[in-house]
Amino acid sequence: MRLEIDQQIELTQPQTLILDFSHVTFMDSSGIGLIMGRHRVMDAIGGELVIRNPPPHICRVMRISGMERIAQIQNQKPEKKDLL
Amino acid sequence: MNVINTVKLTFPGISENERTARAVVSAFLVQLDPTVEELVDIRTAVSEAVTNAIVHGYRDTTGDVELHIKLLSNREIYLRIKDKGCGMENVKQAMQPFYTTAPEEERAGLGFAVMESFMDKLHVKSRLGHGTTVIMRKKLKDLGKDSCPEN
Repeated sequence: MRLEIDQQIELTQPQTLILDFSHVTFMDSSGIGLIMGRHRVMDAIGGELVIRNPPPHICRVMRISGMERIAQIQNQKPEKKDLL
Repeated sequence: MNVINTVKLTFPGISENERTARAVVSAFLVQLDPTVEELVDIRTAVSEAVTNAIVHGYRDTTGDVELHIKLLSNREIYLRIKDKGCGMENVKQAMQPFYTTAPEEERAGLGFAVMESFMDKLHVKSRLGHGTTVIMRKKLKDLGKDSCPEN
């Protein structure tokens, strides 16, 4: 997964990398390592990292790591067009 | 406290078995009717301990991981995760948040911090060259009590 994300970053040079956790059912601190690594990659190109819709139990793991210091955490309701 | 049920499982220290360990813990704990939060806490803590055994304990070797779960009569869960891998010279240092011996692998060094946060008790024994044993305990809420989620 790291490689896929990094390849996309290399290809598109985005201003913002959004990691959407809407369908993630489990994450332990291994996932935190992945997120922190992606933050470093984005930081190197002057971009920012957004974490979207982490489930409550994953939020708890993120809180332990102080994730809010390096990434914006967004909780969004799906728009109608996304549900169609 | 009496042991009302117990299971001991030994499996190869390969990354595919991190999920195996989580599944076994979940299936075994269901008999105590834990809350979703309690179940997730314990699964996550077990996952951290098993991952440590596989990624760090057996970094340069192969070996088995032993998972032992005991359900006690006071609704306390006892978990022991044991490996016979490389062990740690300094357990106290290893347990510091963000300390990792594998920064090049993008390891956050938060495994023990998560275990401490999600479980009631954590005890780690290790001997260099001989392996590591992680013992954790958590007391589940009594059945029938109102449990309001904490904000």
